[in-house]
Amino acid sequence: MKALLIKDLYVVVKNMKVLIIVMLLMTLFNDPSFTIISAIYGSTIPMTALAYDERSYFNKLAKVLPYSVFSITVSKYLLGYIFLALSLVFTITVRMLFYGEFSSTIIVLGMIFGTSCMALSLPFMFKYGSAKGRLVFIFLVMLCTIGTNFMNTYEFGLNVLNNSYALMFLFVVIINVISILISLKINTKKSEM
Amino acid sequence: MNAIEIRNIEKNYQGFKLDNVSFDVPKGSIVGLVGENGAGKSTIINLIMDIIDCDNGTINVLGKSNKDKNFIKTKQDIGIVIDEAYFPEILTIMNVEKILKLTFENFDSNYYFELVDKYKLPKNKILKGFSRGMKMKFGIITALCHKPKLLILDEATSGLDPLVRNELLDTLNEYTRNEENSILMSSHIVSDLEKICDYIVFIHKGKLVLFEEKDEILKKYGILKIVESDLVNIPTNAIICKNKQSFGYQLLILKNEVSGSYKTELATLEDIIILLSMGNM
Repeated sequence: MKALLIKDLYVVVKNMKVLIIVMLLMTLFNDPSFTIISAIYGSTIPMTALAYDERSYFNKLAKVLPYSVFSITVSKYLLGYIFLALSLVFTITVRMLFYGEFSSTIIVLGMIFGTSCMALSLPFMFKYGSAKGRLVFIFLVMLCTIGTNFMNTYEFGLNVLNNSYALMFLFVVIINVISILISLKINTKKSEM
Repeated sequence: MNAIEIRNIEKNYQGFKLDNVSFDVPKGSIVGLVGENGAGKSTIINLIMDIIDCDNGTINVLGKSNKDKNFIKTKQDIGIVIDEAYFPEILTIMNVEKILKLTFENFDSNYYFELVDKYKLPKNKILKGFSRGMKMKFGIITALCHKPKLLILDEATSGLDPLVRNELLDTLNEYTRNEENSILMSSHIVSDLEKICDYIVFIHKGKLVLFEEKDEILKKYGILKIVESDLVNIPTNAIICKNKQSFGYQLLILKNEVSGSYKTELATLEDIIILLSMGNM
Protein backbone atom coordinates (compact mmCIF):
# COMPACT_ATOMS: atom_id res chain seq x y z
CA MET A 1 0.00 0.00 0.00
CA LYS A 2 2.81 2.39 0.97
CA ALA A 3 4.55 1.78 -2.36
CA LEU A 4 1.38 2.56 -4.31
CA LEU A 5 0.70 5.70 -2.26
CA ILE A 6 4.26 6.93 -2.80
CA LYS A 7 3.90 6.23 -6.53
CA ASP A 8 0.68 8.25 -6.68
CA LEU A 9 2.16 11.06 -4.60
CA TYR A 10 5.10 11.35 -7.02
CA VAL A 11 2.65 11.50 -9.94
CA VAL A 12 0.38 14.05 -8.29
CA VAL A 13 3.06 16.31 -6.82
CA LYS A 14 4.46 16.74 -10.34
CA ASN A 15 1.05 18.12 -11.34
CA MET A 16 0.71 20.35 -8.29
CA LYS A 17 1.34 23.64 -10.11
CA VAL A 18 -1.91 23.42 -12.10
CA LEU A 19 -3.79 22.18 -9.06
CA ILE A 20 -2.64 25.06 -6.86
CA ILE A 21 -3.38 27.72 -9.53
CA VAL A 22 -6.92 26.39 -10.13
CA MET A 23 -7.63 26.16 -6.39
CA LEU A 24 -6.24 29.63 -5.77
CA LEU A 25 -8.37 31.18 -8.52
CA MET A 26 -11.49 29.43 -7.27
CA THR A 27 -10.89 30.42 -3.67
CA LEU A 28 -10.30 34.06 -4.68
CA PHE A 29 -13.76 34.28 -6.25
CA ASN A 30 -15.74 35.57 -3.33
CA ASP A 31 -18.52 33.13 -4.07
CA PRO A 32 -19.32 30.27 -1.69
CA SER A 33 -19.94 27.76 -4.53
CA PHE A 34 -16.48 28.34 -5.97
CA THR A 35 -14.92 28.06 -2.54
CA ILE A 36 -16.63 24.72 -2.02
CA ILE A 37 -15.50 23.51 -5.43
CA SER A 38 -11.98 24.59 -4.55
CA ALA A 39 -12.24 22.72 -1.27
CA ILE A 40 -13.42 19.52 -2.95
CA TYR A 41 -10.84 19.83 -5.74
CA GLY A 42 -8.48 17.63 -3.72
CA SER A 43 -10.87 14.74 -4.10
CA THR A 44 -10.25 14.77 -7.88
CA ILE A 45 -6.64 13.71 -7.26
CA PRO A 46 -7.31 9.93 -7.44
CA MET A 47 -8.64 10.58 -10.98
CA THR A 48 -5.35 12.13 -12.03
CA ALA A 49 -3.41 9.21 -10.56
CA LEU A 50 -5.75 6.70 -12.23
CA ALA A 51 -5.42 8.48 -15.59
CA TYR A 52 -1.61 8.21 -15.41
CA ASP A 53 -1.89 4.53 -14.45
CA GLU A 54 -4.13 3.87 -17.44
CA ARG A 55 -1.94 5.77 -19.88
CA SER A 56 1.12 3.65 -19.01
CA TYR A 57 -0.95 0.48 -18.39
CA PHE A 58 0.39 0.49 -14.83
CA ASN A 59 -2.98 -0.88 -13.70
CA LYS A 60 -2.10 -4.06 -15.66
CA LEU A 61 1.42 -4.15 -14.24
CA ALA A 62 0.14 -3.64 -10.69
CA LYS A 63 -1.88 -6.85 -10.96
CA VAL A 64 1.25 -8.94 -11.55
CA LEU A 65 3.35 -7.19 -8.89
CA PRO A 66 2.99 -8.21 -5.23
CA TYR A 67 0.19 -5.72 -4.51
CA SER A 68 -3.11 -6.96 -3.13
CA VAL A 69 -6.43 -5.86 -4.64
CA PHE A 70 -7.10 -4.18 -1.28
CA SER A 71 -3.91 -2.09 -1.56
CA ILE A 72 -4.56 -1.18 -5.21
CA THR A 73 -8.11 -0.05 -4.37
CA VAL A 74 -7.79 1.54 -0.94
CA SER A 75 -4.60 3.47 -1.82
CA LYS A 76 -6.66 5.57 -4.27
CA TYR A 77 -9.22 6.42 -1.57
CA LEU A 78 -6.43 7.29 0.90
CA LEU A 79 -4.86 9.54 -1.71
CA GLY A 80 -8.22 11.31 -2.11
CA TYR A 81 -8.65 11.78 1.64
CA ILE A 82 -5.11 13.15 2.02
CA PHE A 83 -5.56 15.69 -0.77
CA LEU A 84 -9.08 16.62 0.29
CA ALA A 85 -7.67 17.46 3.74
CA LEU A 86 -4.80 19.41 2.16
CA SER A 87 -7.15 21.33 -0.14
CA LEU A 88 -9.36 22.25 2.83
CA VAL A 89 -6.31 23.56 4.69
CA PHE A 90 -5.26 25.44 1.53
CA THR A 91 -8.72 26.97 1.14
CA ILE A 92 -8.79 28.11 4.77
CA THR A 93 -5.29 29.61 4.48
CA VAL A 94 -6.09 31.51 1.25
CA ARG A 95 -9.39 32.81 2.66
CA MET A 96 -7.65 33.97 5.82
CA LEU A 97 -4.89 35.68 3.84
CA PHE A 98 -7.14 37.51 1.36
CA TYR A 99 -10.39 38.00 3.25
CA GLY A 100 -9.35 37.56 6.88
CA GLU A 101 -12.13 35.05 7.48
CA PHE A 102 -13.42 31.66 6.45
CA SER A 103 -16.73 29.94 6.82
CA SER A 104 -16.62 26.68 8.76
CA THR A 105 -19.90 25.76 7.04
CA ILE A 106 -18.20 25.91 3.68
CA ILE A 107 -15.33 23.79 4.93
CA VAL A 108 -17.69 21.16 6.35
CA LEU A 109 -19.75 21.23 3.15
CA GLY A 110 -16.52 20.90 1.15
CA MET A 111 -15.55 17.86 3.20
CA ILE A 112 -18.98 16.26 2.82
CA PHE A 113 -19.30 17.00 -0.89
CA GLY A 114 -15.66 16.07 -1.54
CA THR A 115 -15.77 12.67 0.13
CA SER A 116 -19.22 11.97 -1.33
CA CYS A 117 -18.24 12.89 -4.89
CA MET A 118 -15.13 10.73 -4.59
CA ALA A 119 -17.04 7.83 -3.05
CA LEU A 120 -19.69 7.98 -5.78
CA SER A 121 -17.32 8.37 -8.72
CA LEU A 122 -14.38 6.06 -7.85
CA PRO A 123 -16.25 2.78 -8.47
CA PHE A 124 -17.18 4.13 -11.94
CA MET A 125 -13.54 4.99 -12.57
CA PHE A 126 -12.35 1.53 -11.57
CA LYS A 127 -15.04 -0.04 -13.72
CA TYR A 128 -15.08 2.18 -16.83
CA GLY A 129 -11.79 4.07 -16.65
CA SER A 130 -10.86 7.58 -15.60
CA ALA A 131 -12.29 9.32 -18.70
CA LYS A 132 -15.84 8.09 -18.13
CA GLY A 133 -15.44 8.37 -14.36
CA ARG A 134 -14.50 12.02 -14.80
CA LEU A 135 -17.88 12.67 -16.44
CA VAL A 136 -19.63 11.18 -13.41
CA PHE A 137 -17.51 13.36 -11.13
CA ILE A 138 -18.32 16.53 -13.11
CA PHE A 139 -22.01 15.66 -12.92
CA LEU A 140 -21.75 15.19 -9.15
CA VAL A 141 -19.90 18.50 -8.71
CA MET A 142 -22.68 20.20 -10.70
CA LEU A 143 -25.21 18.65 -8.35
CA CYS A 144 -23.20 19.91 -5.37
CA THR A 145 -23.13 23.44 -6.82
CA ILE A 146 -26.86 23.38 -7.46
CA GLY A 147 -27.41 21.99 -3.96
CA THR A 148 -25.28 24.74 -2.43
CA ASN A 149 -27.18 27.44 -4.30
CA PHE A 150 -30.45 25.78 -3.36
CA MET A 151 -29.51 26.17 0.28
CA ASN A 152 -29.08 29.81 -0.70
CA THR A 153 -28.10 31.26 2.62
CA TYR A 154 -25.22 29.73 4.46
CA GLU A 155 -26.83 30.62 7.74
CA PHE A 156 -29.45 28.09 6.79
CA GLY A 157 -26.73 25.62 5.88
CA LEU A 158 -24.97 26.26 9.13
CA ASN A 159 -28.14 25.64 11.09
CA VAL A 160 -28.74 22.40 9.26
CA LEU A 161 -25.16 21.29 9.84
CA ASN A 162 -25.08 22.32 13.49
CA ASN A 163 -28.10 20.17 14.10
CA SER A 164 -26.90 17.16 12.17
CA TYR A 165 -23.11 16.93 12.28
CA ALA A 166 -23.25 13.38 13.56
CA LEU A 167 -25.74 12.42 10.88
CA MET A 168 -23.64 13.99 8.14
CA PHE A 169 -20.50 12.27 9.46
CA LEU A 170 -22.33 8.96 9.54
CA PHE A 171 -23.57 9.51 5.97
CA VAL A 172 -20.01 10.23 4.76
CA VAL A 173 -18.62 7.14 6.50
CA ILE A 174 -21.38 4.85 5.20
CA ILE A 175 -21.16 6.09 1.62
CA ASN A 176 -17.36 5.68 1.64
CA VAL A 177 -17.45 2.18 3.15
CA ILE A 178 -20.04 1.09 0.56
CA SER A 179 -17.98 2.69 -2.21
CA ILE A 180 -14.77 0.91 -1.10
CA LEU A 181 -16.61 -2.43 -0.95
CA ILE A 182 -17.99 -1.94 -4.47
CA SER A 183 -14.57 -0.90 -5.81
CA LEU A 184 -12.96 -3.94 -4.16
CA LYS A 185 -15.53 -6.16 -5.85
CA ILE A 186 -14.90 -4.50 -9.22
CA ASN A 187 -11.13 -4.85 -8.91
CA THR A 188 -11.33 -8.43 -7.65
CA LYS A 189 -13.36 -9.52 -10.66
CA LYS A 190 -10.76 -10.73 -13.08
CA SER A 191 -10.88 -8.93 -16.38
CA GLU A 192 -11.62 -10.90 -19.51
CA MET A 193 -8.64 -10.10 -21.73
CA MET B 1 11.69 -29.36 -9.57
CA ASN B 2 9.87 -27.15 -12.03
CA ALA B 3 9.59 -23.39 -11.67
CA ILE B 4 6.22 -23.52 -13.45
CA GLU B 5 3.94 -26.52 -13.95
CA ILE B 6 0.97 -26.07 -16.22
CA ARG B 7 -1.50 -28.92 -16.46
CA ASN B 8 -4.42 -29.17 -18.88
CA ILE B 9 -5.35 -25.51 -18.77
CA GLU B 10 -8.33 -24.33 -20.75
CA LYS B 11 -9.73 -20.89 -21.29
CA ASN B 12 -12.70 -20.08 -23.48
CA TYR B 13 -13.35 -16.72 -25.07
CA GLN B 14 -15.76 -15.92 -27.84
CA GLY B 15 -13.91 -17.02 -30.99
CA PHE B 16 -10.87 -18.36 -29.14
CA LYS B 17 -10.12 -21.36 -27.00
CA LEU B 18 -6.93 -22.19 -25.16
CA ASP B 19 -7.26 -25.92 -25.39
CA ASN B 20 -5.82 -28.37 -22.86
CA VAL B 21 -2.32 -26.89 -22.67
CA SER B 22 0.31 -28.54 -20.46
CA PHE B 23 4.00 -27.76 -20.16
CA ASP B 24 6.70 -27.07 -17.57
CA VAL B 25 9.40 -24.53 -17.03
CA PRO B 26 12.17 -26.65 -15.48
CA LYS B 27 14.20 -24.93 -12.77
CA GLY B 28 17.33 -23.32 -14.14
CA SER B 29 16.11 -23.28 -17.73
CA ILE B 30 14.92 -20.72 -20.26
CA VAL B 31 11.67 -21.67 -21.94
CA GLY B 32 10.57 -19.85 -25.06
CA LEU B 33 6.85 -19.44 -25.66
CA VAL B 34 6.20 -18.89 -29.33
CA GLY B 35 3.11 -18.52 -31.46
CA GLU B 36 1.40 -16.18 -33.89
CA ASN B 37 -0.55 -13.11 -32.77
CA GLY B 38 -3.61 -14.26 -30.87
CA ALA B 39 -2.25 -17.80 -30.41
CA GLY B 40 -2.72 -17.56 -26.66
CA LYS B 41 0.75 -16.64 -25.36
CA SER B 42 -0.36 -13.61 -23.33
CA THR B 43 -3.43 -15.52 -22.13
CA ILE B 44 -1.09 -18.19 -20.74
CA ILE B 45 1.01 -15.54 -18.94
CA ASN B 46 -2.13 -13.89 -17.56
CA LEU B 47 -3.33 -17.30 -16.34
CA ILE B 48 0.05 -18.02 -14.71
CA MET B 49 -0.05 -14.70 -12.84
CA ASP B 50 -3.70 -15.33 -11.91
CA ILE B 51 -4.90 -12.13 -13.59
CA ILE B 52 -7.56 -14.25 -15.26
CA ASP B 53 -9.14 -17.53 -14.18
CA CYS B 54 -8.72 -20.89 -15.94
CA ASP B 55 -11.88 -22.69 -17.02
CA ASN B 56 -9.99 -25.93 -16.37
CA GLY B 57 -6.59 -27.10 -15.27
CA THR B 58 -3.99 -26.19 -12.67
CA ILE B 59 -0.92 -24.00 -12.51
CA ASN B 60 1.88 -24.26 -9.95
CA VAL B 61 4.48 -21.51 -9.70
CA LEU B 62 7.66 -22.01 -7.64
CA GLY B 63 6.05 -24.97 -5.92
CA LYS B 64 2.78 -23.23 -5.03
CA SER B 65 -0.60 -23.19 -6.71
CA ASN B 66 -1.33 -19.80 -8.22
CA LYS B 67 -4.75 -20.09 -6.53
CA ASP B 68 -3.08 -20.23 -3.12
CA LYS B 69 -4.12 -17.39 -0.81
CA ASN B 70 -0.46 -16.58 -0.28
CA PHE B 71 0.36 -16.38 -4.00
CA ILE B 72 1.07 -12.69 -3.43
CA LYS B 73 4.11 -13.80 -1.38
CA THR B 74 5.24 -16.02 -4.26
CA LYS B 75 5.10 -12.91 -6.46
CA GLN B 76 7.96 -11.53 -4.38
CA ASP B 77 10.13 -14.14 -6.15
CA ILE B 78 8.84 -13.38 -9.64
CA GLY B 79 10.14 -10.69 -11.96
CA ILE B 80 7.88 -9.79 -14.84
CA VAL B 81 8.03 -7.61 -17.92
CA ILE B 82 4.82 -7.02 -19.81
CA ASP B 83 4.91 -5.41 -23.22
CA GLU B 84 3.66 -1.80 -23.11
CA ALA B 85 3.03 -1.83 -19.34
CA TYR B 86 5.29 0.49 -17.43
CA PHE B 87 5.41 2.76 -14.41
CA PRO B 88 3.59 6.08 -15.00
CA GLU B 89 5.50 8.07 -17.60
CA ILE B 90 5.86 11.13 -15.38
CA LEU B 91 8.16 9.24 -12.98
CA THR B 92 11.94 8.99 -13.12
CA ILE B 93 14.29 6.08 -12.43
CA MET B 94 15.03 7.67 -9.03
CA ASN B 95 11.28 7.75 -8.19
CA VAL B 96 10.75 4.13 -9.27
CA GLU B 97 13.64 2.99 -7.04
CA LYS B 98 11.79 4.36 -4.00
CA ILE B 99 8.58 2.60 -5.07
CA LEU B 100 10.27 -0.75 -5.72
CA LYS B 101 12.10 -0.57 -2.42
CA LEU B 102 8.69 -0.52 -0.73
CA THR B 103 7.33 -3.23 -3.04
CA PHE B 104 9.92 -6.00 -2.87
CA GLU B 105 11.37 -7.38 0.36
CA ASN B 106 14.59 -8.40 -1.41
CA PHE B 107 15.00 -5.22 -3.44
CA ASP B 108 18.67 -4.43 -4.00
CA SER B 109 19.25 -0.71 -4.66
CA ASN B 110 22.92 -1.23 -5.49
CA TYR B 111 22.11 -3.83 -8.13
CA TYR B 112 19.33 -1.58 -9.48
CA PHE B 113 21.69 1.35 -10.01
CA GLU B 114 24.42 -0.98 -11.25
CA LEU B 115 22.07 -2.14 -14.04
CA VAL B 116 20.90 1.45 -14.69
CA ASP B 117 24.53 2.49 -15.16
CA LYS B 118 25.29 -0.58 -17.26
CA TYR B 119 22.47 0.31 -19.67
CA LYS B 120 23.39 4.01 -19.51
CA LEU B 121 19.86 5.09 -18.61
CA PRO B 122 19.32 8.67 -17.37
CA LYS B 123 18.35 8.65 -13.70
CA ASN B 124 16.46 11.93 -13.56
CA LYS B 125 14.72 11.99 -16.93
CA ILE B 126 11.00 11.20 -16.90
CA LEU B 127 10.07 7.85 -18.48
CA LYS B 128 7.98 9.65 -21.12
CA GLY B 129 11.21 10.73 -22.78
CA PHE B 130 12.54 7.17 -23.00
CA SER B 131 12.72 5.34 -26.34
CA ARG B 132 11.09 1.92 -26.59
CA GLY B 133 14.49 0.28 -26.21
CA MET B 134 15.22 2.29 -23.07
CA LYS B 135 11.79 1.44 -21.65
CA MET B 136 12.35 -2.27 -22.25
CA LYS B 137 15.81 -2.14 -20.67
CA PHE B 138 14.28 -0.37 -17.68
CA GLY B 139 11.50 -2.96 -17.57
CA ILE B 140 14.11 -5.73 -17.35
CA ILE B 141 15.94 -3.82 -14.60
CA THR B 142 12.76 -3.43 -12.53
CA ALA B 143 12.10 -7.16 -12.98
CA LEU B 144 15.61 -8.21 -11.94
CA CYS B 145 16.50 -5.87 -9.10
CA HIS B 146 14.79 -7.93 -6.39
CA LYS B 147 16.74 -11.06 -7.38
CA PRO B 148 13.69 -13.11 -8.46
CA LYS B 149 13.83 -16.87 -8.88
CA LEU B 150 11.55 -16.72 -11.91
CA LEU B 151 11.48 -14.19 -14.69
CA ILE B 152 8.48 -13.93 -17.01
CA LEU B 153 8.86 -11.84 -20.13
CA ASP B 154 5.95 -11.09 -22.42
CA GLU B 155 7.22 -9.83 -25.79
CA ALA B 156 10.09 -8.07 -24.05
CA THR B 157 12.28 -7.94 -27.15
CA SER B 158 9.69 -7.08 -29.81
CA GLY B 159 10.17 -3.81 -31.63
CA LEU B 160 13.78 -3.46 -30.50
CA ASP B 161 16.80 -3.12 -32.76
CA PRO B 162 19.20 -6.10 -32.89
CA LEU B 163 21.86 -4.35 -30.76
CA VAL B 164 19.48 -3.67 -27.89
CA ARG B 165 18.02 -7.17 -28.22
CA ASN B 166 21.49 -8.68 -27.94
CA GLU B 167 22.23 -6.61 -24.84
CA LEU B 168 19.00 -7.81 -23.22
CA LEU B 169 19.67 -11.42 -24.15
CA ASP B 170 23.14 -11.15 -22.57
CA THR B 171 21.55 -9.91 -19.34
CA LEU B 172 19.11 -12.83 -19.41
CA ASN B 173 21.94 -15.30 -19.99
CA GLU B 174 23.81 -13.83 -17.05
CA TYR B 175 20.68 -14.17 -14.91
CA THR B 176 20.36 -17.91 -15.63
CA ARG B 177 23.99 -18.58 -14.64
CA ASN B 178 22.46 -19.08 -11.22
CA GLU B 179 20.88 -22.51 -11.62
CA GLU B 180 18.06 -21.57 -9.24
CA ASN B 181 16.81 -19.00 -11.74
CA SER B 182 14.37 -19.76 -14.56
CA ILE B 183 12.84 -17.76 -17.40
CA LEU B 184 9.61 -18.06 -19.36
CA MET B 185 9.86 -15.78 -22.34
CA SER B 186 7.24 -15.20 -25.00
CA SER B 187 8.32 -13.68 -28.27
CA HIS B 188 7.54 -13.37 -31.95
CA ILE B 189 11.22 -13.22 -32.70
CA VAL B 190 12.07 -16.88 -33.01
CA SER B 191 15.75 -16.16 -33.68
CA ASP B 192 16.01 -14.63 -30.18
CA LEU B 193 14.47 -17.71 -28.65
CA GLU B 194 16.77 -19.96 -30.68
CA LYS B 195 19.75 -18.05 -29.28
CA ILE B 196 19.02 -18.45 -25.59
CA CYS B 197 16.23 -20.94 -24.90
CA ASP B 198 16.65 -24.47 -23.58
CA TYR B 199 13.05 -25.48 -24.32
CA ILE B 200 10.48 -24.32 -26.83
CA VAL B 201 6.72 -24.24 -26.35
CA PHE B 202 4.85 -23.61 -29.59
CA ILE B 203 1.21 -22.60 -29.32
CA HIS B 204 -0.90 -22.45 -32.47
CA LYS B 205 -4.52 -21.30 -32.43
CA GLY B 206 -4.76 -22.02 -28.70
CA LYS B 207 -3.32 -25.53 -28.94
CA LEU B 208 0.02 -26.84 -27.79
CA VAL B 209 1.85 -28.05 -30.90
CA LEU B 210 5.34 -28.49 -29.54
CA PHE B 211 7.05 -28.67 -26.16
CA GLU B 212 10.55 -30.00 -26.47
CA GLU B 213 14.18 -29.25 -25.77
CA LYS B 214 15.45 -26.83 -28.38
CA ASP B 215 18.53 -28.91 -29.24
CA GLU B 216 16.37 -31.99 -29.64
CA ILE B 217 14.03 -30.11 -32.00
CA LEU B 218 16.92 -28.92 -34.16
CA LYS B 219 18.45 -32.41 -34.19
CA LYS B 220 15.22 -34.23 -34.90
CA TYR B 221 13.58 -32.18 -37.62
CA GLY B 222 14.73 -31.41 -41.16
CA ILE B 223 13.31 -29.87 -44.28
CA LEU B 224 12.87 -31.82 -47.47
CA LYS B 225 11.95 -30.23 -50.80
CA ILE B 226 10.54 -32.68 -53.28
CA VAL B 227 8.47 -32.77 -56.47
CA GLU B 228 4.93 -34.06 -56.13
CA SER B 229 5.67 -37.46 -57.69
CA ASP B 230 8.29 -38.22 -54.99
CA LEU B 231 5.83 -37.71 -52.16
CA VAL B 232 4.74 -41.39 -52.24
CA ASN B 233 8.35 -42.49 -51.54
CA ILE B 234 8.51 -40.69 -48.23
CA PRO B 235 7.27 -42.78 -45.29
CA THR B 236 4.09 -41.28 -43.88
CA ASN B 237 5.38 -41.53 -40.31
CA ALA B 238 8.37 -39.37 -41.27
CA ILE B 239 6.24 -36.45 -42.43
CA ILE B 240 5.34 -34.00 -39.69
CA CYS B 241 3.66 -31.58 -42.06
CA LYS B 242 3.76 -30.56 -45.69
CA ASN B 243 3.44 -27.26 -47.42
CA LYS B 244 2.52 -27.12 -51.13
CA GLN B 245 4.77 -24.87 -53.14
CA SER B 246 5.27 -24.07 -56.84
CA PHE B 247 7.97 -26.78 -57.33
CA GLY B 248 6.12 -29.46 -55.35
CA TYR B 249 6.24 -29.88 -51.59
CA GLN B 250 8.26 -28.57 -48.71
CA LEU B 251 8.13 -31.15 -45.94
CA LEU B 252 9.01 -30.98 -42.30
CA ILE B 253 10.31 -34.44 -41.59
CA LEU B 254 11.81 -36.59 -38.88
CA LYS B 255 15.35 -36.92 -40.19
CA ASN B 256 15.87 -40.42 -38.80
CA GLU B 257 12.87 -41.80 -40.66
CA VAL B 258 13.96 -40.76 -44.13
CA SER B 259 16.49 -42.75 -46.16
CA GLY B 260 19.80 -41.20 -47.15
CA SER B 261 18.83 -40.97 -50.83
CA TYR B 262 16.91 -37.80 -49.97
CA LYS B 263 19.02 -34.87 -48.95
CA THR B 264 17.42 -33.06 -46.06
CA GLU B 265 18.18 -29.43 -45.27
CA LEU B 266 18.95 -28.19 -41.78
CA ALA B 267 15.90 -26.54 -40.32
CA THR B 268 16.16 -23.45 -38.17
CA LEU B 269 13.69 -23.03 -35.36
CA GLU B 270 11.96 -20.36 -37.43
CA ASP B 271 11.58 -22.78 -40.40
CA ILE B 272 10.09 -25.40 -38.10
CA ILE B 273 7.65 -22.97 -36.50
CA ILE B 274 6.56 -21.54 -39.86
CA LEU B 275 6.05 -24.99 -41.38
CA LEU B 276 4.15 -26.20 -38.36
CA SER B 277 1.91 -23.12 -38.60
CA MET B 278 1.33 -23.23 -42.34
CA GLY B 279 1.69 -26.84 -43.30
CA ASN B 280 -0.90 -29.61 -43.44
CA MET B 281 -0.37 -32.57 -41.17
